[in-house]
Amino acid sequence: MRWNVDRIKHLLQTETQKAVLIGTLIVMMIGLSLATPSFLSVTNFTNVFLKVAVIVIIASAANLLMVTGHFDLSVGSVLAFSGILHAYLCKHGVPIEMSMLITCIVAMGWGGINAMTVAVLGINPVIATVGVLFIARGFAFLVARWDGGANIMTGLPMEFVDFGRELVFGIFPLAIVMMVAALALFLFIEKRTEIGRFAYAIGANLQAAKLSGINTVGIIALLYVIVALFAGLSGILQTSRVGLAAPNVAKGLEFDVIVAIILGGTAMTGGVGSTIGMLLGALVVGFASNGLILLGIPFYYQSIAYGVILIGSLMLNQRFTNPARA
Amino acid sequence: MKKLVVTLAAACSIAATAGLADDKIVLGKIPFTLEHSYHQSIVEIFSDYAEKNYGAETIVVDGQASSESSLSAVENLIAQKVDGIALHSPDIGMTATAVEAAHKAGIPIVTTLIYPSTKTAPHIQPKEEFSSFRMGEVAAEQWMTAFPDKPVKVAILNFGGFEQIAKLRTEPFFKGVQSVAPDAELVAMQNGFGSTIKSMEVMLDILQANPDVNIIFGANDDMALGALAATEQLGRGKMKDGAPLTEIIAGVDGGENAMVKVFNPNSSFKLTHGQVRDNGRAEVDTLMAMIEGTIEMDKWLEVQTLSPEFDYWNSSVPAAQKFLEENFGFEKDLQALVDTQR
Repeated sequence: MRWNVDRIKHLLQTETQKAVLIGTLIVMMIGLSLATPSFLSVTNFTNVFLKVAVIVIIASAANLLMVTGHFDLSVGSVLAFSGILHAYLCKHGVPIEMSMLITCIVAMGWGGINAMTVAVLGINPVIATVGVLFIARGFAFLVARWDGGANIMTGLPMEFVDFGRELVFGIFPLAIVMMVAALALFLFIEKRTEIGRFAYAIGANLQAAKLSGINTVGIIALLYVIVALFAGLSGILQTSRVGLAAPNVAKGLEFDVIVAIILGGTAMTGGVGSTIGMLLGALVVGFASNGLILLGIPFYYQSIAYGVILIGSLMLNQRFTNPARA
Repeated sequence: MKKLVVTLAAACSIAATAGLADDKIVLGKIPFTLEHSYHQSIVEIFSDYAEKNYGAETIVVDGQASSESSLSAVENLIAQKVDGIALHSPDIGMTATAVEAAHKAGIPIVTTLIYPSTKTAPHIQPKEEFSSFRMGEVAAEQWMTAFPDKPVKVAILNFGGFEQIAKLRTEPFFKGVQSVAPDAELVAMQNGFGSTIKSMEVMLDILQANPDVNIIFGANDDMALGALAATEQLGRGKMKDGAPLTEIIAGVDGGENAMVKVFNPNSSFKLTHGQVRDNGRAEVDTLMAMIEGTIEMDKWLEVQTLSPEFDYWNSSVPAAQKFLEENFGFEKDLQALVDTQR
């Protein structure tokens, strides 16, 4: 019994952020269940998971990237470009599977540019990835213009929407299955592979990691490419789900991803963080947004609530982890 | 020597004449945002019409859906000493500032869609409220014909805090619904951010809270298409040969993507309205009239245009085809596109 209390105390000290997020989620769920009968249902939870799916898929990889002390601000633009490219290729006769493959390869190319500029050339990730943010967004608009309009919808093959609306085993939306797969993959990488261990080492002390013989450039570059690949896949998924590709989608997605990651306890300076924490962060934001709409709260209050949840959760974490400063 | 002077004078005269001939009228056009097909089309129509009818050149500077960028675009065009400016700004206060800045530089300016807070320059106003009202009327009539015993429940997606969108689109639409179904209830009004994907996500939540919603209005076509995607995901969004089954969806802009759905007998998206050509032309004509001095540049004058309404039940595909060709440079076959829909 004594061991259990000590163990719980230890866990609360080391996993404060997750405990705060779980507490926040529980309080929100109880409150929303009492406030609106529409909240506690399979359909609603499916909606919430669908809403956060793209954020979680990208953030799974972006979280480990941030653990190395790096981040990628170009994910929204890479997603938009990938969606447009996939629609353009499908509309112009490329088979859907082939188009997906080409789009994923091109998305990895965007990640390759980030890898080259940040990992190899040592350019600040804010500057380098914002560069790709603008270039990829610009090309997204350009491809849409080549097609003759502002977005691509008419002329797409009928099967175009099947991928995004696919139900695995006739029950689970593909977006949610992909989200779970991305989470499982990065949980495995984080806990069981050298890449995961090296990522933490790089984030904790880059120079020490280099001197220890870790291929820091290779690890950071690989993570940039995977983040871009996941952004590309998300672009395909989202475009095919809605049946329309628009170059202006996912503006600000990079911030949604970063908010989920930071809320989950990952330090922007690197060395600290976890995939589970990021998932909890994304769910807090997703359920908060869902609950506020279910309650019919106007969007400007939603925006305020979004900020309050973010700051409040981080303050609580600060209060528990560093009581002397609180 | 005298011969040389005469020759030089003649050369100068020719050069001056040539200079005048090159001294084309230059118009500045600031669209709300070039990210949207409506605004891309209006820029094309504006430029073509100015060139063909007045031999005028157009400089386009994107307003990027931002007050700061629009004001900066106005300052940019003033610095280039253009002969006239057409502005579709995102807010009323900034429009007034822009008008004042242009007038101070002696440059005629015409505003469009967003009324300025001070009425000191000509303004082009598409009378969208009539068509928005009509769409509400038609949607309610169709729903009540199909389901006379099911109360009308309306959900609206808007752009957030745009007062003009409320005046021109969302309020008249709901009033149109109420004119047919006085007990109609507005159960949700949320921000769709003008985006298809955001609107889909928001509409899923709205339908979760209010599954009995049966009339949906998106304040632009992108939002209406997002709402349609949400309904389709929930196994709704369908009609049977134009007869409502689960809901009726309406949008605004009248673009190709919307028209294809409107005339698909199996889709819930059934109404839209829009106008590009007449707005663009009215902007050019009004600017040129100010430049030529037939309209005073610092007096309020509202030039009204119509925003024709299209719906499945009262409009024809050929009429929509003509509208798309005239307003969006459409070169495809609308009926063929409709036929490829599920």
